[in-house]
Amino acid sequence: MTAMRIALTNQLNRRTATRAKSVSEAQSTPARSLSGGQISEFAELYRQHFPKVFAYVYGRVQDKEISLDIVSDVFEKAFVKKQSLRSPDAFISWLFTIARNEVSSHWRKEKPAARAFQAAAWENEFHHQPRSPEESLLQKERIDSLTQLLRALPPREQEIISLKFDAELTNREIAQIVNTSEVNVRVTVFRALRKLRQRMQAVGGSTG
Amino acid sequence: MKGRERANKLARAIDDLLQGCRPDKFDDEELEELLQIAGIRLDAARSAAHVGAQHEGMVWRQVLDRLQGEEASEPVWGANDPSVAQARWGRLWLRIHPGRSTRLLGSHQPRSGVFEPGGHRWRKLAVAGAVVALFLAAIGPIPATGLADHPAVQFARFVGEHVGVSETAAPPAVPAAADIVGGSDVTADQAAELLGLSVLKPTSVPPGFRQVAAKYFPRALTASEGGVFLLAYATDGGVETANSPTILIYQEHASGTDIAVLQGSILDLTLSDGTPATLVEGSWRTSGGQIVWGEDGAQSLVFERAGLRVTIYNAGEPPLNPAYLQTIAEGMIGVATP
Repeated sequence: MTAMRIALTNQLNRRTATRAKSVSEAQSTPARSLSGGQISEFAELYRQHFPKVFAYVYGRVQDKEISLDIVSDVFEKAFVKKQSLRSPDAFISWLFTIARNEVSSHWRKEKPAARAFQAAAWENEFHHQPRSPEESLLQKERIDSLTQLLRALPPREQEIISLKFDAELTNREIAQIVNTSEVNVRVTVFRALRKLRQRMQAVGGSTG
Repeated sequence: MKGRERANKLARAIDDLLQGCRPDKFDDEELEELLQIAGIRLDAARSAAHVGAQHEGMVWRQVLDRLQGEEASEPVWGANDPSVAQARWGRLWLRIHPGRSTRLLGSHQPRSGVFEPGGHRWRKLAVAGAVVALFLAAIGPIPATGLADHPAVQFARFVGEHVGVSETAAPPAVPAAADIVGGSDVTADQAAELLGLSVLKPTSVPPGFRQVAAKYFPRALTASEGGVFLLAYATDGGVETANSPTILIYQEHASGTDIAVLQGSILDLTLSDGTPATLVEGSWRTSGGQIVWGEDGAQSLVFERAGLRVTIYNAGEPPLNPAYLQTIAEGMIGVATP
């Protein structure tokens, strides 16, 4: 038993060394190992922000599997580049800037035909929330309708709506990310919602 | 009211909504409807966040694996192929939640040859004799010090995501021989005294099973202190062949190392009282002189409560529906021997 424990310990040590090398290569900095402390600290940030990062990315790409991949990329990059963040207070804006860039990068590479294929799978899971059947159906209709109409908004408005409702950021944080003023964010949200209302009314939708 | 003023008013109400407060009703019909639309959009976002949260652990492991450069490991275990791990996880999920869509979990199937079907399975010993060795064989050797310092394990503990279990891409080393540790017959009260902890007893077991042993072993499975209390259950045929159905319930201190299992073999559950638990499907076994992870019907449910780690292990044919393991665990939570 002792022999096998030692063997496995050695194996784990080798793997840890390999990981350290991988990270150092990614950073192009002198080799440093991934400590448990680094992982734990980052794990807390991950845990805290994962749901909203996921919701934001999903709000932008509307595909679960792609969203999970993008979110994984976002946190990988955030971990690797975290040392470059000067102010810890700016972490949220910085994280969502990475997310925003990753989404943009995805859209540059995305082949539209591949997307429609995957939407149905998510549909079931997304709407599998604990509500009464009637309430669930009604809410599903509202959300579906709204989602369709949102897609018709200009990209910048979609972006700001997603940062507001999916990422649940403050107007100041959004302003930092999209490089505008807080006033502009407030007005953009207002205008975007007004367009949605007008379009919902045009197609006979109800908000109540 | 000017446009900007109305935008500010709406912005404040939306911020209230995001904070979970119910904003005051607007006198302005348009603003009221805009706020309702905002509410629907927020509901959609939170639904997405809720469902996304179910994948939090999987994505974290992916991030960690990439950061730690494990993708280039040897492919023989199949653990480095995300589609294999995902498919395995998907099947496990469906066994617990048969009503959910399989497409959500990806459509990949395991590659042939990844799981070697013919290899020698660990020889099962009589329950009365060497159950600790049997269990060690089933879950793989636990390193004395290695995993405790491993970042992945630290994270698993930190997040509390997989109770007492951490995933690994590589199998443990081949053991030369398993230690045999003798146990003695005890009552639950005696076991509690020996362990220095209250132990739990199931209120029910699946139909056809009966208790065949209650033993205390002086060496723990994963704990750094104390021994382990074992309750063994078998069907009327007893533990006579390698495929005889068995339920083994181990109770030890919730300390020391986690149980190493193959990536993609675990599913996080929550017991009825909110206690987190981890279900593991499969076990390590030998094949061609190496240890491989076999989806051979063996399954374990691990949870921790009041300083006690409980591992409910089932193997044999036919395998139990894992819901039974959850039922056993929930029965145990209700009855504690002081």
